[in-house]
Amino acid sequence: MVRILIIEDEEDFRDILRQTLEPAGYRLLFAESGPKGLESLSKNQADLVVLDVNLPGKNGYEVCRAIRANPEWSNLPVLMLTIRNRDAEIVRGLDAGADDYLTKPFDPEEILARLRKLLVHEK
Amino acid sequence: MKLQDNLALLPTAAVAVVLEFGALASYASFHEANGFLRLRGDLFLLAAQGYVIVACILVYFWGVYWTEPFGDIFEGIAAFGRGNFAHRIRRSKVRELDELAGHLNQMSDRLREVDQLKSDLISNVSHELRSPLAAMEGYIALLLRQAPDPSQTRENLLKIGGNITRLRRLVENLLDLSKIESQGTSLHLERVKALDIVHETCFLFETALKNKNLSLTIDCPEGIPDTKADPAKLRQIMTNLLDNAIKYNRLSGFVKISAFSGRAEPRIVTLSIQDSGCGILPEHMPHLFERFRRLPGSANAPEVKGTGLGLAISLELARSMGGDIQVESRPENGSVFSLILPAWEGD
Repeated sequence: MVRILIIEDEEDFRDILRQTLEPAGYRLLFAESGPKGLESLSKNQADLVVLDVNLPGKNGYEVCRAIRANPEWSNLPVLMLTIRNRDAEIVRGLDAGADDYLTKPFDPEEILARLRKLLVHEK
Repeated sequence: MKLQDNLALLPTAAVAVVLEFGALASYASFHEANGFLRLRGDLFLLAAQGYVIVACILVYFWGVYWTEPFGDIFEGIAAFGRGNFAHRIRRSKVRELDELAGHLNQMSDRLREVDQLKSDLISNVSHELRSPLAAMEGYIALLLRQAPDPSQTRENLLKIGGNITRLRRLVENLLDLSKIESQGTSLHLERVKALDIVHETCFLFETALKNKNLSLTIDCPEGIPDTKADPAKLRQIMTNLLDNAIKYNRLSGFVKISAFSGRAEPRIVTLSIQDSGCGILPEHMPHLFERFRRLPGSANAPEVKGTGLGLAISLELARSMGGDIQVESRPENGSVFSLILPAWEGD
């Protein structure tokens, strides 16, 4: 079963992601802050990370760079969630090593399609 | 002290001179009648001339003394009027005027504070509103997956969703505006092929164009110079202008984008976006770029929804890059919005 780590501080979005991704057969892990996300990643094996940009502790860009800096996770797919299609934010996210991005609010079908694509690429 | 202020003093001085000579002449003729006092009269005439010159000089400095602080005060009030609250009126040696300058400076401090508070409030409130609105949209999307199609529930959910989206856009636009105000936005001017941005933007509107069965033509002759612009800002302006051109268009109409550049120096590039929509009434023209100003819909676009901030933001963005936006329109004959940008100089 594919395991997805969701690093997101807002409860509503964790909930929306749960309702969207669990019925599609993914196993979800949740973290509410940047440091907790990295901790969870080292403890549990995850196949993909969904990463919010505005996070307490460490922001999404920093978390993404930390993930990329670890050779173990260099190929781990990361999907960034930004609050809007601000070009600068998207560019920063991709520069930090994210594989794809999505803006909040997102369409359930779209996030599922993007996850499928990222997971296929990984294999 | 400006030249025109000096000139303004001349009549005063002239009047003083005429008055003095008048008094002098009558005095001299009185002495002449008395014969033996003639010599003393001549001497008096000489002294009087000196007196007149001294009087003129005094009048001049007296004028400068009074008009200069007034000039500073007028300049200051004009600056405050333009929204430049950082301007300071120089203190004056005249006590009353000095007090006036002090009060005006104080007032401008207060205005600056209030202006800042307003910007902060808009920015903070918008930030706080954005997340819950996005979450609500997320939940609506989830509900829509479960609602049977077609059903009244589904329709109602779509309507709620549409309203929330509208609110969220408004909040985002407000944030854009407050950003522009607070830091003049961070500009990254670089060499940009305007046409690339045009193509990118049009790509985003493919569905919207298709939905209204609009034809799109892009007309860009050879040899249009590159522009000096911030690509992200340019994209935002193009998105707003194109969005309007589609929203206010009639069914099966057209949108035409053309680029041109004159020979004049400094060189500029004009991107014009022409639509076949309802046009803008002359009486609405002066308010077109005002914030929250939404023009009453016409027969073609009665249902148009927007925040009334798109054009205001676009104009501010264009000006921040040293450009401008101009409009030509005739009611029922469509509008042409022209975005003017400085051309890239050098290699």
